Amino acid sequence: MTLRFFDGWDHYATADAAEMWSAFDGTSSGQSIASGAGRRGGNGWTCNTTGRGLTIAIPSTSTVILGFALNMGAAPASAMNIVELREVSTLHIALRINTDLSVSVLRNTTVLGTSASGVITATGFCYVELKTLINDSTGTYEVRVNGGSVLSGTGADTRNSGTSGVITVASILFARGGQIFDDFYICDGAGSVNNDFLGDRRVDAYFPSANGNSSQMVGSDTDSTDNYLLVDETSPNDDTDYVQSDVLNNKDTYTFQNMVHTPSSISGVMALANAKKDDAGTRSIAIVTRSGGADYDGSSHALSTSYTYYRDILETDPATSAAWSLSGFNNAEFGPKVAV
Amino acid sequence: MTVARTTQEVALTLSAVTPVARVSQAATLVLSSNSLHAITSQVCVLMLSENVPDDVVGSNANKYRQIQIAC
Repeated sequence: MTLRFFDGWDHYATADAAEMWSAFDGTSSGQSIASGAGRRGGNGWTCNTTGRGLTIAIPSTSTVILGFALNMGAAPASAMNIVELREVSTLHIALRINTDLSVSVLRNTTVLGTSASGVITATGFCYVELKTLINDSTGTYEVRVNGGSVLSGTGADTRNSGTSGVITVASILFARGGQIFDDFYICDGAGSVNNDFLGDRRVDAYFPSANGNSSQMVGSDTDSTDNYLLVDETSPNDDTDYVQSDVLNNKDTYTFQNMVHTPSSISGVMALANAKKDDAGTRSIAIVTRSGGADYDGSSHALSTSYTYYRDILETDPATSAAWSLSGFNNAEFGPKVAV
Repeated sequence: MTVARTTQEVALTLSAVTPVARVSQAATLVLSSNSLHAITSQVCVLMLSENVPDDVVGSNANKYRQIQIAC
Protein backbone atom coordinates (compact mmCIF):
# COMPACT_ATOMS: atom_id res chain seq x y z
CA MET A 1 0.00 0.00 0.00
CA THR A 2 1.28 3.44 -0.82
CA LEU A 3 -1.78 5.55 -0.20
CA ARG A 4 -1.42 6.26 3.50
CA PHE A 5 -4.21 8.67 4.37
CA PHE A 6 -6.75 11.07 2.94
CA ASP A 7 -9.48 13.29 4.32
CA GLY A 8 -12.08 15.75 3.11
CA TRP A 9 -13.44 16.83 6.54
CA ASP A 10 -16.95 15.75 5.63
CA HIS A 11 -17.61 12.99 8.17
CA TYR A 12 -16.87 14.42 11.62
CA ALA A 13 -17.04 17.57 13.73
CA THR A 14 -14.12 19.67 14.95
CA ALA A 15 -14.12 17.93 18.34
CA ASP A 16 -13.58 14.59 16.60
CA ALA A 17 -10.49 15.69 14.65
CA ALA A 18 -8.12 13.94 17.07
CA GLU A 19 -9.98 10.69 16.46
CA MET A 20 -9.32 10.89 12.72
CA TRP A 21 -5.81 12.38 12.74
CA SER A 22 -2.84 11.30 14.87
CA ALA A 23 -2.70 14.63 16.66
CA PHE A 24 -4.74 17.79 16.76
CA ASP A 25 -3.10 20.85 18.21
CA GLY A 26 -6.36 22.20 19.47
CA THR A 27 -4.75 24.56 21.93
CA SER A 28 -4.60 27.38 19.41
CA SER A 29 -7.76 29.16 18.44
CA GLY A 30 -9.33 29.13 15.02
CA GLN A 31 -8.78 25.51 14.04
CA SER A 32 -12.02 24.00 12.97
CA ILE A 33 -14.11 22.33 10.37
CA ALA A 34 -15.02 25.04 7.88
CA SER A 35 -18.61 24.04 7.27
CA GLY A 36 -19.65 24.43 3.65
CA ALA A 37 -16.42 26.26 2.80
CA GLY A 38 -14.72 23.38 1.02
CA ARG A 39 -14.85 22.49 -2.63
CA ARG A 40 -18.16 21.34 -4.13
CA GLY A 41 -20.01 22.89 -1.19
CA GLY A 42 -18.61 20.43 1.31
CA ASN A 43 -16.55 21.06 4.40
CA GLY A 44 -12.92 22.06 4.64
CA TRP A 45 -10.42 22.66 7.42
CA THR A 46 -9.16 26.01 8.58
CA CYS A 47 -6.18 26.62 10.85
CA ASN A 48 -4.87 29.53 12.85
CA THR A 49 -1.93 28.27 14.76
CA THR A 50 1.79 28.41 15.26
CA GLY A 51 1.62 24.83 16.53
CA ARG A 52 1.32 21.66 14.54
CA GLY A 53 -2.27 21.99 13.38
CA LEU A 54 -3.37 18.55 12.25
CA THR A 55 -0.71 15.83 12.18
CA ILE A 56 -0.89 12.38 10.64
CA ALA A 57 1.64 9.67 11.41
CA ILE A 58 2.79 7.49 8.54
CA PRO A 59 5.16 4.52 8.30
CA SER A 60 8.77 5.65 8.04
CA THR A 61 9.57 6.64 4.48
CA SER A 62 12.16 8.67 2.63
CA THR A 63 9.68 9.66 -0.11
CA VAL A 64 6.45 11.52 0.46
CA ILE A 65 3.86 12.74 -2.01
CA LEU A 66 0.96 14.81 -0.77
CA GLY A 67 -1.70 17.05 -2.21
CA PHE A 68 -4.54 19.28 -1.06
CA ALA A 69 -6.93 21.92 -2.28
CA LEU A 70 -6.05 25.34 -0.88
CA ASN A 71 -8.01 28.56 -0.73
CA MET A 72 -5.78 31.27 0.71
CA GLY A 73 -8.56 33.83 0.95
CA ALA A 74 -5.95 36.56 0.60
CA ALA A 75 -2.20 36.91 0.13
CA PRO A 76 -0.50 36.27 3.48
CA ALA A 77 0.87 39.23 5.42
CA SER A 78 4.01 37.21 6.14
CA ALA A 79 5.51 33.99 4.85
CA MET A 80 3.91 30.94 6.40
CA ASN A 81 4.60 27.22 6.39
CA ILE A 82 1.53 25.31 5.35
CA VAL A 83 2.97 21.79 5.39
CA GLU A 84 5.76 20.36 7.52
CA LEU A 85 7.26 16.88 7.15
CA ARG A 86 9.04 15.67 10.26
CA GLU A 87 10.99 12.76 11.61
CA VAL A 88 9.27 12.53 14.98
CA SER A 89 9.83 16.14 16.09
CA THR A 90 12.71 17.11 13.78
CA LEU A 91 11.63 19.14 10.77
CA HIS A 92 13.02 17.92 7.45
CA ILE A 93 10.97 19.68 4.78
CA ALA A 94 8.50 22.56 4.88
CA LEU A 95 6.30 23.95 2.13
CA ARG A 96 5.86 27.71 2.52
CA ILE A 97 3.58 30.31 0.98
CA ASN A 98 5.22 33.73 0.62
CA THR A 99 3.65 37.16 0.60
CA ASP A 100 3.93 37.39 -3.20
CA LEU A 101 2.05 34.07 -3.47
CA SER A 102 5.15 32.18 -4.52
CA VAL A 103 5.98 28.87 -2.85
CA SER A 104 9.25 27.83 -1.22
CA VAL A 105 10.59 24.47 -0.12
CA LEU A 106 12.76 24.56 3.00
CA ARG A 107 15.00 22.11 4.78
CA ASN A 108 14.17 23.04 8.34
CA THR A 109 14.65 26.85 8.09
CA THR A 110 16.95 26.87 5.04
CA VAL A 111 15.24 27.83 1.78
CA LEU A 112 16.10 25.29 -0.93
CA GLY A 113 14.15 26.93 -3.71
CA THR A 114 11.40 29.43 -4.47
CA SER A 115 8.97 29.54 -7.38
CA ALA A 116 7.90 32.50 -9.42
CA SER A 117 5.47 34.85 -7.71
CA GLY A 118 1.74 34.40 -8.06
CA VAL A 119 1.69 30.64 -8.58
CA ILE A 120 -0.87 30.39 -5.78
CA THR A 121 -4.17 32.17 -6.28
CA ALA A 122 -5.10 34.67 -3.60
CA THR A 123 -8.75 33.66 -3.67
CA GLY A 124 -10.47 30.54 -4.86
CA PHE A 125 -9.14 27.01 -4.67
CA CYS A 126 -6.01 25.72 -6.32
CA TYR A 127 -4.66 22.19 -5.93
CA VAL A 128 -1.15 22.04 -4.47
CA GLU A 129 1.06 18.95 -4.48
CA LEU A 130 4.51 18.30 -3.04
CA LYS A 131 6.84 15.38 -3.70
CA THR A 132 10.15 15.06 -1.90
CA LEU A 133 12.93 12.56 -1.32
CA ILE A 134 14.89 12.93 1.90
CA ASN A 135 18.64 12.57 1.36
CA ASP A 136 21.83 14.41 2.34
CA SER A 137 23.02 14.89 -1.24
CA THR A 138 20.60 13.33 -3.71
CA GLY A 139 17.42 14.73 -2.26
CA THR A 140 14.67 15.98 -4.55
CA TYR A 141 11.60 18.16 -4.30
CA GLU A 142 8.88 19.31 -6.65
CA VAL A 143 5.79 21.43 -6.19
CA ARG A 144 2.87 21.32 -8.57
CA VAL A 145 -0.11 23.65 -8.67
CA ASN A 146 -3.20 22.48 -10.54
CA GLY A 147 -1.08 19.75 -12.10
CA GLY A 148 1.67 22.04 -13.43
CA SER A 149 5.20 22.05 -12.00
CA VAL A 150 6.10 25.40 -10.41
CA LEU A 151 9.24 24.49 -8.47
CA SER A 152 11.68 21.59 -8.44
CA GLY A 153 15.18 20.69 -7.38
CA THR A 154 17.51 17.70 -7.54
CA GLY A 155 20.81 16.86 -5.90
CA ALA A 156 19.62 18.73 -2.85
CA ASP A 157 20.29 18.27 0.83
CA THR A 158 16.77 17.66 2.08
CA ARG A 159 17.75 15.89 5.27
CA ASN A 160 17.99 17.71 8.57
CA SER A 161 21.04 16.75 10.62
CA GLY A 162 21.01 14.31 13.47
CA THR A 163 18.31 12.12 12.03
CA SER A 164 17.96 8.85 10.22
CA GLY A 165 16.48 10.60 7.21
CA VAL A 166 12.91 9.39 7.18
CA ILE A 167 9.57 11.11 7.45
CA THR A 168 7.22 9.83 10.11
CA VAL A 169 4.66 12.60 10.46
CA ALA A 170 3.10 15.22 8.23
CA SER A 171 1.45 18.35 9.60
CA ILE A 172 -0.73 20.92 7.94
CA LEU A 173 -0.83 24.31 9.57
CA PHE A 174 -1.03 28.03 9.05
CA ALA A 175 0.31 31.03 10.86
CA ARG A 176 -2.97 32.84 10.60
CA GLY A 177 -6.58 31.99 9.92
CA GLY A 178 -8.80 32.32 6.93
CA GLN A 179 -7.25 29.71 4.64
CA ILE A 180 -9.16 26.57 3.80
CA PHE A 181 -7.83 23.05 3.16
CA ASP A 182 -9.81 20.35 1.40
CA ASP A 183 -9.26 17.03 -0.40
CA PHE A 184 -6.01 16.08 1.33
CA TYR A 185 -4.01 12.95 0.44
CA ILE A 186 -0.59 11.58 1.38
CA CYS A 187 1.33 8.70 -0.20
CA ASP A 188 4.78 7.25 0.09
CA GLY A 189 7.00 5.85 -2.64
CA ALA A 190 6.40 2.18 -2.02
CA GLY A 191 4.42 -0.20 -4.19
CA SER A 192 3.39 0.03 -7.80
CA VAL A 193 0.43 2.41 -7.59
CA ASN A 194 -0.22 5.69 -5.81
CA ASN A 195 3.51 6.30 -5.49
CA ASP A 196 3.77 9.51 -7.54
CA PHE A 197 1.79 12.70 -8.04
CA LEU A 198 -1.90 11.81 -8.19
CA GLY A 199 -3.04 15.13 -9.64
CA ASP A 200 -6.15 17.03 -8.60
CA ARG A 201 -8.12 14.61 -6.39
CA ARG A 202 -11.40 14.82 -4.56
CA VAL A 203 -12.41 13.10 -1.33
CA ASP A 204 -16.04 12.14 -0.91
CA ALA A 205 -17.64 10.63 2.19
CA TYR A 206 -20.37 8.02 1.91
CA PHE A 207 -22.57 6.63 4.67
CA PRO A 208 -24.69 3.49 5.20
CA SER A 209 -28.00 3.56 3.39
CA ALA A 210 -29.51 0.12 4.18
CA ASN A 211 -28.87 -3.23 5.83
CA GLY A 212 -26.48 -5.46 3.98
CA ASN A 213 -25.81 -9.18 3.91
CA SER A 214 -25.02 -9.55 7.65
CA SER A 215 -26.90 -8.19 10.69
CA GLN A 216 -25.42 -10.05 13.64
CA MET A 217 -24.52 -7.20 15.95
CA VAL A 218 -26.94 -5.90 18.55
CA GLY A 219 -27.92 -2.28 18.41
CA SER A 220 -28.27 0.18 21.23
CA ASP A 221 -31.99 -0.31 20.64
CA THR A 222 -31.43 -3.92 21.84
CA ASP A 223 -32.24 -5.59 18.55
CA SER A 224 -30.51 -6.34 15.26
CA THR A 225 -33.11 -4.71 13.08
CA ASP A 226 -32.05 -1.86 10.81
CA ASN A 227 -28.67 -1.58 12.45
CA TYR A 228 -27.48 0.72 9.67
CA LEU A 229 -29.60 3.51 11.18
CA LEU A 230 -27.41 3.38 14.30
CA VAL A 231 -24.11 4.02 12.52
CA ASP A 232 -25.04 6.29 9.64
CA GLU A 233 -24.43 9.69 11.22
CA THR A 234 -22.50 12.28 9.26
CA SER A 235 -20.65 13.05 12.51
CA PRO A 236 -20.13 10.36 15.16
CA ASN A 237 -22.59 10.58 18.07
CA ASP A 238 -20.72 8.14 20.33
CA ASP A 239 -23.03 6.43 22.85
CA THR A 240 -26.20 8.03 21.55
CA ASP A 241 -26.67 5.07 19.23
CA TYR A 242 -24.39 2.27 18.16
CA VAL A 243 -24.06 -1.43 17.38
CA GLN A 244 -22.08 -3.82 19.55
CA SER A 245 -21.15 -7.44 20.07
CA ASP A 246 -18.97 -9.57 22.31
CA VAL A 247 -19.34 -12.64 20.11
CA LEU A 248 -16.32 -13.52 18.05
CA ASN A 249 -16.92 -13.23 14.29
CA ASN A 250 -20.27 -11.51 14.64
CA LYS A 251 -20.52 -8.82 11.98
CA ASP A 252 -22.70 -6.29 10.25
CA THR A 253 -22.39 -5.16 6.68
CA TYR A 254 -24.28 -2.27 5.18
CA THR A 255 -24.95 -0.99 1.72
CA PHE A 256 -23.79 2.55 1.06
CA GLN A 257 -24.91 5.55 -0.89
CA ASN A 258 -24.07 5.45 -4.57
CA MET A 259 -21.29 7.66 -5.82
CA VAL A 260 -22.40 11.18 -6.58
CA HIS A 261 -20.18 11.65 -9.60
CA THR A 262 -18.60 9.63 -12.39
CA PRO A 263 -14.87 9.47 -11.76
CA SER A 264 -12.35 8.78 -14.46
CA SER A 265 -10.26 6.97 -11.86
CA ILE A 266 -10.54 5.95 -8.23
CA SER A 267 -7.30 6.08 -6.28
CA GLY A 268 -8.60 4.36 -3.19
CA VAL A 269 -11.41 3.71 -0.74
CA MET A 270 -11.03 4.20 3.00
CA ALA A 271 -13.42 2.15 5.16
CA LEU A 272 -13.87 3.73 8.57
CA ALA A 273 -15.43 2.67 11.83
CA ASN A 274 -15.68 4.92 14.85
CA ALA A 275 -15.50 2.35 17.63
CA LYS A 276 -14.39 1.41 21.14
CA LYS A 277 -14.61 -1.45 23.66
CA ASP A 278 -16.74 -1.13 26.76
CA ASP A 279 -14.38 -2.52 29.40
CA ALA A 280 -10.84 -3.59 30.16
CA GLY A 281 -9.54 -6.55 28.21
CA THR A 282 -8.64 -7.35 24.64
CA ARG A 283 -11.20 -6.76 21.96
CA SER A 284 -10.56 -6.05 18.28
CA ILE A 285 -12.63 -5.36 15.23
CA ALA A 286 -11.97 -5.80 11.56
CA ILE A 287 -13.73 -3.81 8.88
CA VAL A 288 -15.38 -6.13 6.41
CA THR A 289 -15.61 -5.30 2.73
CA ARG A 290 -18.23 -7.31 0.87
CA SER A 291 -17.70 -7.25 -2.89
CA GLY A 292 -18.60 -9.67 -5.62
CA GLY A 293 -20.65 -11.73 -3.19
CA ALA A 294 -17.79 -12.46 -0.80
CA ASP A 295 -16.68 -10.94 2.48
CA TYR A 296 -13.10 -9.73 2.86
CA ASP A 297 -11.85 -8.91 6.35
CA GLY A 298 -9.51 -5.99 6.78
CA SER A 299 -6.73 -5.90 9.33
CA SER A 300 -7.53 -6.42 13.00
CA HIS A 301 -7.75 -3.22 15.03
CA ALA A 302 -7.27 -3.48 18.81
CA LEU A 303 -9.86 -1.24 20.43
CA SER A 304 -9.38 1.26 23.23
CA THR A 305 -12.04 2.31 25.71
CA SER A 306 -12.48 5.65 23.93
CA TYR A 307 -14.08 6.17 20.58
CA THR A 308 -11.67 6.68 17.73
CA TYR A 309 -11.52 6.00 14.00
CA TYR A 310 -10.15 2.71 12.73
CA ARG A 311 -9.46 2.62 9.03
CA ASP A 312 -8.52 0.33 6.20
CA ILE A 313 -7.40 1.79 2.89
CA LEU A 314 -8.26 -0.35 -0.12
CA GLU A 315 -6.42 0.76 -3.23
CA THR A 316 -8.11 -2.00 -5.17
CA ASP A 317 -11.43 -3.84 -5.10
CA PRO A 318 -10.65 -7.09 -3.23
CA ALA A 319 -13.01 -9.00 -5.52
CA THR A 320 -11.10 -8.05 -8.66
CA SER A 321 -7.67 -6.98 -7.38
CA ALA A 322 -8.05 -4.10 -9.83
CA ALA A 323 -8.77 -0.44 -9.17
CA TRP A 324 -12.25 0.26 -7.86
CA SER A 325 -14.90 0.95 -10.46
CA LEU A 326 -18.05 2.99 -9.98
CA SER A 327 -20.28 -0.08 -10.14
CA GLY A 328 -17.92 -2.07 -7.94
CA PHE A 329 -18.14 0.57 -5.23
CA ASN A 330 -21.88 1.11 -5.58
CA ASN A 331 -22.50 -2.62 -5.11
CA ALA A 332 -20.05 -3.06 -2.23
CA GLU A 333 -20.92 -3.34 1.47
CA PHE A 334 -18.81 -2.39 4.46
CA GLY A 335 -19.20 -2.96 8.20
CA PRO A 336 -17.58 -3.99 11.51
CA LYS A 337 -16.77 -7.52 12.68
CA VAL A 338 -15.61 -8.77 16.07
CA ALA A 339 -12.15 -10.12 15.20
CA VAL A 340 -10.65 -10.87 18.65
CA MET B 1 -0.16 -36.57 113.29
CA THR B 2 -0.09 -35.70 109.68
CA VAL B 3 -1.59 -32.38 108.69
CA ALA B 4 -3.01 -31.83 105.35
CA ARG B 5 -1.94 -28.37 104.10
CA THR B 6 -3.30 -26.79 101.04
CA THR B 7 -1.72 -23.63 99.78
CA GLN B 8 -3.53 -23.36 96.50
CA GLU B 9 -6.43 -24.92 94.89
CA VAL B 10 -6.82 -24.47 91.18
CA ALA B 11 -9.29 -25.98 88.89
CA LEU B 12 -8.37 -26.06 85.24
CA THR B 13 -10.96 -26.80 82.70
CA LEU B 14 -10.50 -27.72 79.12
CA SER B 15 -13.60 -27.13 77.19
CA ALA B 16 -14.90 -25.94 73.83
CA VAL B 17 -15.55 -22.24 73.39
CA THR B 18 -18.02 -20.44 71.12
CA PRO B 19 -16.30 -17.31 69.76
CA VAL B 20 -18.26 -14.55 68.13
CA ALA B 21 -17.31 -13.50 64.62
CA ARG B 22 -17.56 -9.82 64.01
CA VAL B 23 -17.61 -8.39 60.45
CA SER B 24 -17.26 -4.73 59.86
CA GLN B 25 -17.14 -4.80 56.03
CA ALA B 26 -18.19 -7.21 53.35
CA ALA B 27 -16.72 -7.05 49.85
CA THR B 28 -16.30 -9.39 46.95
CA LEU B 29 -13.50 -9.38 44.41
CA VAL B 30 -13.84 -11.49 41.32
CA LEU B 31 -11.02 -12.30 38.94
CA SER B 32 -12.40 -13.69 35.75
CA SER B 33 -12.29 -13.40 31.99
CA ASN B 34 -14.08 -10.38 30.59
CA SER B 35 -16.98 -10.55 28.16
CA LEU B 36 -16.54 -7.12 26.61
CA HIS B 37 -18.20 -5.64 23.57
CA ALA B 38 -16.85 -4.03 20.48
CA ILE B 39 -19.00 -0.94 19.98
CA THR B 40 -19.25 0.88 16.67
CA SER B 41 -20.92 4.25 16.61
CA GLN B 42 -20.29 5.31 13.03
CA VAL B 43 -19.31 3.61 9.80
CA CYS B 44 -18.43 5.56 6.69
CA VAL B 45 -16.35 5.27 3.56
CA LEU B 46 -14.12 7.90 2.03
CA MET B 47 -13.32 7.78 -1.66
CA LEU B 48 -10.32 9.42 -3.29
CA SER B 49 -10.89 9.95 -6.97
CA GLU B 50 -9.96 12.28 -9.77
CA ASN B 51 -11.46 15.73 -9.55
CA VAL B 52 -12.96 16.42 -12.94
CA PRO B 53 -14.25 19.97 -13.44
CA ASP B 54 -17.87 20.12 -14.49
CA ASP B 55 -17.02 22.07 -17.62
CA VAL B 56 -15.03 19.11 -18.92
CA VAL B 57 -17.36 16.20 -18.31
CA GLY B 58 -20.33 17.93 -16.81
CA SER B 59 -23.84 18.34 -18.10
CA ASN B 60 -24.67 18.75 -21.74
CA ALA B 61 -26.06 22.13 -20.81
CA ASN B 62 -22.60 23.28 -19.86
CA LYS B 63 -21.13 21.97 -23.09
CA TYR B 64 -23.84 23.65 -25.11
CA ARG B 65 -23.20 26.89 -23.29
CA GLN B 66 -19.53 26.67 -24.14
CA ILE B 67 -20.38 26.19 -27.81
CA GLN B 68 -22.67 29.17 -27.76
CA ILE B 69 -19.96 31.33 -26.32
CA ALA B 70 -17.53 30.09 -28.94
CA CYS B 71 -19.96 31.00 -31.74
